[in-house]
Amino acid sequence: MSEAKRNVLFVPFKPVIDVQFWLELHRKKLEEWKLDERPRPSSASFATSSYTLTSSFSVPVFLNKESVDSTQDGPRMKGTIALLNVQSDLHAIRKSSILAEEWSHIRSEWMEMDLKTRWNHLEFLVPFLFRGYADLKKHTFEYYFASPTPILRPPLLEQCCVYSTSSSTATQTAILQCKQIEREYSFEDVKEKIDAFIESLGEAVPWLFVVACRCANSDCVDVGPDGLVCLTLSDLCEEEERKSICSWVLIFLDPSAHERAFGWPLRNALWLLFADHPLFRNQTSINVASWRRNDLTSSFIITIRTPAVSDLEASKEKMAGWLTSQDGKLRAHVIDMHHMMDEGSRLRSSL
Amino acid sequence: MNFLKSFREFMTPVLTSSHFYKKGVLTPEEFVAAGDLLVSKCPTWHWDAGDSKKKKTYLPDDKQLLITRNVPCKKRATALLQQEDDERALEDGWVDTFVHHVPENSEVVDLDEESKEITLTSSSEHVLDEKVGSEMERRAVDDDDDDDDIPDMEEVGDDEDLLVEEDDACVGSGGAGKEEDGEDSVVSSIVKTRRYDISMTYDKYYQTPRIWLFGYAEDNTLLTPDQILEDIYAEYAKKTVTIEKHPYYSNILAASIHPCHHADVMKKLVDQSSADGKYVRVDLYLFLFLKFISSVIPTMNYDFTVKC
Repeated sequence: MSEAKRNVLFVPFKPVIDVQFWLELHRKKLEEWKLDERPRPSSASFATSSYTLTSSFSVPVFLNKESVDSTQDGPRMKGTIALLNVQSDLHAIRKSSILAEEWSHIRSEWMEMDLKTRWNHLEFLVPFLFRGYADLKKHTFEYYFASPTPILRPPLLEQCCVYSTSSSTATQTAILQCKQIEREYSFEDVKEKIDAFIESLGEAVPWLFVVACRCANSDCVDVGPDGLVCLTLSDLCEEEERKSICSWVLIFLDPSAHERAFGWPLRNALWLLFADHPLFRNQTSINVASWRRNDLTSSFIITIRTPAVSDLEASKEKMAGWLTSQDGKLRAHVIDMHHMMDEGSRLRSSL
Repeated sequence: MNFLKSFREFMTPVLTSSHFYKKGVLTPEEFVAAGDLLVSKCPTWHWDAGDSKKKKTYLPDDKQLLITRNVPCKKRATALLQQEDDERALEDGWVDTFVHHVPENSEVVDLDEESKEITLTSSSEHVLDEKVGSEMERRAVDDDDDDDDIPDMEEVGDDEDLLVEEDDACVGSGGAGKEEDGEDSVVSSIVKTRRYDISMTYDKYYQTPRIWLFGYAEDNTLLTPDQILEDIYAEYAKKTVTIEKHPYYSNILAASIHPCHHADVMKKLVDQSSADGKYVRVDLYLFLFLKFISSVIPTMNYDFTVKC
């Protein structure tokens, strides 16, 4: 257990793009979209556990053939794809404002749903946009990728670290405390409950949910770890559900492998939870667990100080999220597929 | 050539009766059964429908090919070969390793001074990233000398840097969050690797599975065929392994392990198992097959199957 006051950090997305994506994009542009530059709905996914192929400084976003069509079942990310007709137009896109437009559009779509339904659609919290230019004759693609997010000023602050594996007694650390029966739940108790929840839902498990003590009435008794319950954010929109729990921790199935930073998906989620969710209103701080199923020893739980409502409102205008190049500059990323194309098809497409 | 191949495959009738024990080949039904078992036991593999225009009628629509994605490939097969050459058996039964290794600088160095340099030059993964990035970009620029078709990234969008908001909460953004957090400078233990999408199709002519490889570099760009060959055991590269059109993905070239000897090898493996008193069921074919394929692509860590 350690005291700390510092920014809550997030590991940005980096697209991992399947060769089928480029082929499908090529086909769509040639046969369907043609000169139409309008953004098309798209989908992508990210792992719900830390992914070991990339560095701890990025979280992979997987784009495949289905991403182009937005027909993917249960996508974890909702976005748009647009191919521009002129290369210079791509380089000149309004990068500073396009994020705000996209975020505003996705957020308004999300807000149109009723409170309970919207928290069943976590894909809205992880928007992305892909803007590209395709040279169909030379089989090269240039693209910009962004995952829009409002910049909060002042940034979210870590109040303290509740659980960290750097502590030798970490697994025994109490991470939940039931006020009614004065019982403490350890990391192991919570782990058991989460494992059962994930197993019961399989692939459909939401990447953000709550583990809580269901004992907030006067006649409850100490039933050990059975007093813990996993609840979705949608469940917790019901007042009855909220009344039935006392202390809780927000569980994030984290794709980040960074030792002290959350994966990018949590970033917008926290913003909207603080702004919209009834469970999070009137809280001065919350406990958030970065739950790493592949490597539980790297999981951590921190307490985050709740931002002021005025700060949340003010942050709507300032956006971040563009994927930068290796040197940190915002350049178009280039994919050259000409060496992978069949000679016959290259010849045909150049005629 | 492709026409002849297509014609030859078209003329070959679909195998309908099992010749697994006699010839080491599979019928399409046996391929599907073996694939189903592989998918159920190894969830990293899954069935794919491929391009609907390329659909083979003798396979179910949704089970045209098997695929496993993002298979890590940490080192080049060529490096592996060099490693083998570096070992020499000694008379006393010991093995001398690194026999061809000559230190670049044989002078004795001051370790304290050396460690200072290491601290200065490799304390951040970003330094490594930059090196890799600059090397990639240097290569891209070199390539551009030969081919003006590829846009020069150096000339693209620099002025937009000014428009990007400084993001204090983003790791690696260069914002205040990173500067204040000294731990970001710790080199990550997670290594960036090449990765491969490995697909397995049914070859109607050879009546065996066939392996296809798509490769991605450390920076997620596509590997060229020549780069893919670096990850194939030298003895097989450009002989058993060839660059051909993928049967399910339109007009795209992929590296393929040619199936001409697959049946023979599989029969030998099955016979050997039988001689050892182990009966190999036909639906275990792909488990055995993948173990044999790992000798061709030794550095791709795809095999999460159990020991047969």
